[in-house]
Amino acid sequence: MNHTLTTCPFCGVGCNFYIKTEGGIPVGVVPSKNHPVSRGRLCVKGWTAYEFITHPQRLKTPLLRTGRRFAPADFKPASWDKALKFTAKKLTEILEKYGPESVAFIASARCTNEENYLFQKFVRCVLGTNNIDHCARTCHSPTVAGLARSFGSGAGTNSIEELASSKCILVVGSNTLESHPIIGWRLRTAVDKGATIILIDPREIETANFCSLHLKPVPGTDIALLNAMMNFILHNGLQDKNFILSRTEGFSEFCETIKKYTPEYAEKITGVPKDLIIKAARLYSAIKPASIVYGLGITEHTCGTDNVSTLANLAMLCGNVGKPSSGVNPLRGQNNVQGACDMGALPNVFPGYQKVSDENIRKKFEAAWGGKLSSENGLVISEILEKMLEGKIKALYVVGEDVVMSEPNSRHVIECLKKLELLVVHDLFICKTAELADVVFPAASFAEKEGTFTNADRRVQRVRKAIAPLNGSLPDGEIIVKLAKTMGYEIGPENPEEIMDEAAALTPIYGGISYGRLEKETLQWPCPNKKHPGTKILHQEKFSQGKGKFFPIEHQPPRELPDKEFPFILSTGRILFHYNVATMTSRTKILQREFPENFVQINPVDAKEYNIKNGDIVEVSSRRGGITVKASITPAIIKGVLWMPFHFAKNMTNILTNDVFDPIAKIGEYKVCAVRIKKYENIKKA
Amino acid sequence: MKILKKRDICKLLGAAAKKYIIIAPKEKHGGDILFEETGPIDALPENYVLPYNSLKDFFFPQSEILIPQKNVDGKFLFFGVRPCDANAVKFQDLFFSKEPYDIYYLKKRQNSIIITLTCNTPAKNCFCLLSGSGPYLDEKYDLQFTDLGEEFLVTAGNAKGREFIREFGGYFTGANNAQISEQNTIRNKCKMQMEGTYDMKKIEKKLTEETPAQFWKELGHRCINCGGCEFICPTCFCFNVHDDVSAKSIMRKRSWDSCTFEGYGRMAGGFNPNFAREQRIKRRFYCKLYHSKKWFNMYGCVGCGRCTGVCPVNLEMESFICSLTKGDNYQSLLKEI
Repeated sequence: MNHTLTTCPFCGVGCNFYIKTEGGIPVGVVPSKNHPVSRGRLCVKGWTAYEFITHPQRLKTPLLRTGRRFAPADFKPASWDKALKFTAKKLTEILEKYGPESVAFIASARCTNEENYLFQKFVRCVLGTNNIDHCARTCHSPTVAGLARSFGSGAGTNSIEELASSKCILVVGSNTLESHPIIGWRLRTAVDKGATIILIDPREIETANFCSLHLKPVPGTDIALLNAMMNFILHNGLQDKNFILSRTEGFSEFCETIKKYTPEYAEKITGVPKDLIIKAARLYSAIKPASIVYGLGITEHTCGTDNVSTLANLAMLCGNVGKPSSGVNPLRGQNNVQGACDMGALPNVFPGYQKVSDENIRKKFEAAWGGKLSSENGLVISEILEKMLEGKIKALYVVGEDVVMSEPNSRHVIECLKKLELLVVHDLFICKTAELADVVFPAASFAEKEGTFTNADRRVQRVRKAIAPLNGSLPDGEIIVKLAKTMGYEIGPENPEEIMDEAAALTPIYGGISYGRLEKETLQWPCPNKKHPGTKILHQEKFSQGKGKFFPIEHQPPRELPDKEFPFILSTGRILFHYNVATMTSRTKILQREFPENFVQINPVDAKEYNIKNGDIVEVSSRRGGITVKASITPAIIKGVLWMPFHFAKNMTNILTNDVFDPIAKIGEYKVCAVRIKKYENIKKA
Repeated sequence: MKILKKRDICKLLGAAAKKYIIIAPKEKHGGDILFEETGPIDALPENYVLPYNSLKDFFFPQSEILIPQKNVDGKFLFFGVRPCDANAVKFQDLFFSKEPYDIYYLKKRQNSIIITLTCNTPAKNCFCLLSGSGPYLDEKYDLQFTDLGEEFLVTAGNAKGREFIREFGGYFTGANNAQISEQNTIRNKCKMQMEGTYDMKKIEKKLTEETPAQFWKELGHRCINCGGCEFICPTCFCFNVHDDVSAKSIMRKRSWDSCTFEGYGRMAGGFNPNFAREQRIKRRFYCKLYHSKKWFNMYGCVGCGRCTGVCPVNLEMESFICSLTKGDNYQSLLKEI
């Protein structure tokens, strides 16, 4: 029995565990007791992370489409040589015929830093465009944009372990104990030590069991709620005057906006009683140290960036930034979404958030990589899809993401994909997107390669190879290097350690990262040189941009509100036992047993009105489509709101969601759209 | 009773390695210690307490192919096993040797020898005395080592142990009275340090009484169903069986399961007599502290303390026992935060 220490492939907490292998096969997992973040703990997904690796449905060879385009599963196995040559030829043809802006690449927040570095190098050097994006768009792009403009750095300000010593934690739009259980552990520990938790969430989630105060706003009204808290704080002189004076700018303009958001005014918009708003304001401003923890309940709105900046406003107002156990802590979703952003898998920046439009930066990368690089910002995922529909984007390359299942309005996504001349996909299993592809490359899992992931608190950690790539699959990085070679380009190095060395040399925040150092410790960026110990807390003496900036922000209602035809708000999210589109977790027996199918949560009063009983099959539909699922009646959801997880390929929740986007971060409004519900009458008789 | 000089460990294990695969505590990354195939070792890791995995990994692995059945290759020697872990193996022996005999488990057990190392001082999370499982074994063990400083005092507890000493006799010398006396001093000192406020008889009595529903409700609210306590626990034996079917083959596998998962007790029609999480947690604690004693005459908890470090909501055995004895609502001792 061997044990290989690696980082969990699921969420952004970045727990570490040892994969147990016996005879070259993964047989189990044991947590790393001394790991600084997970400290011997794992959630049920981490504990069973070994199982999907050897599932019989793992792709074994490259697949080339034969027969009709877009008939699912019309594939024939092909050799690597044939598949690579085909892909290279088609890509080259499309580039020659339509130019570099006709191709786009969706990189992967599930892949390693080294692989994402290679992806963006491939896109910029070989394809000649900046049309690269990834699923950070779908979750924390407002964090990147919002915190960057408020603080100067679009990443979490403090470290996960500090939360346990916080005395007051404002948890807003995060179902922490289900989406980030081991961060949830810190919340639980803080409360066990006497801390106060203020929870802002329309549902009675697990955190509600031990919070001191639970505010349940109507989804999409967070700005009004938070502004009202700040209104009360200012009105009663509870703000940190010193901090505001010495460390921030833009305060007076911000104050003007806040004036009208009295708790009474906010109660009308949010549905939260004004006394609760006042109580929350008192607690957060008085108790120190105080942290904010937030998730997709804040970001996945058409005003997501403004939501994030509102939280930043609140934190600065009370002087709760740049100190231990305080700050603004975004809970990054994916195992390496932070890293994929850091490595420049984004259309407007190179690795290290260095702007593509900056001539000096571009010259630096041109010198390092050779050749000319485009100065035009590329497209984000939603724009890529639109351009596909318009016929302007002809080829799409997707690594490790099921865009059909993850993007809002799945039917629309399928229509966009059908317009392509070439769709190439890397994945471990056939997913909804791969079903439509022309070429599918079999990828190796996290246990079959070397590399690094960067977690939610900017911590770069090693991913280690426990077994050889199974069944003839290859790590995604190796596939892209081979493809580049077939197209006549060298984008190496190929060795992950050397790739990190190259990336670190060009990326100031990763400057001191090396595999030698990572053998002994984890390192949190900024880590600018080999002697630097890494950075636990950001913005301590001053903000990354000098002064923190207050932004005047008004409440903006969600784009699609309930009306007579579609009288409910639908909100979506995650459950503990499944991970995102469940490619891996649906192939883990115990997880699939616990939650085998999609369901909709509905309040008992609403259920009675619609004559729905627990377990009934119901049809939930929006302007974009309808699906049938089982009803789960629970008082945990407020009246007038329905909630569904998005994990299930059969009956995809994102058929219902609205493809409208935040104007700055371009994130979809997954948390609010209008739906109707009715009992499903037409069940075929046996 | 025999003596083995510490400087001869490597020689003994080297000789034994010709016949056995040696599994001993190994230092991994960042101070983590795990039981692993190591080959002959010079010494145990510095400040060694307890590996994070237990012998369960080897006799009842987290996942195992049942069909097609594999041959058990080789004999295994486990070195540096604490009495709590050795007792956990004894407990699982009792379960897996009930009819229908678990040939997968029993075959591996037959082909193994366990060298227990008693504890000189209790560690932070230990409460083995509570369940009568340590800090040394009185009976039903293969070999037991006590650390006297420069050497180990060695006792054989059964024929397997005696046979081992006979086979590798060249590395052992006889123990004198002073050394035997030293062993007793060490044992008593360790035991005294652990004599505490918990009394298993009192706990059992508490469990037969009516505990307030609120106590269990709060536990139900606290737990998030990560399965960690079952997965890390060296005595837990619940498992799930499934078939992996592909175009070319079928494999029947089993994997660790947790009785606190809702699906574990769910019936074919969807009904579950233990639907509420608090019921499942209550059943788990009763299994460990009450029913196991009735079934096997042995507690299902050996006081190893691993669950203290594995729970993301600070819900673990020692704090549970403490809270139950006091009669309060659950409060975590917060030992491993």
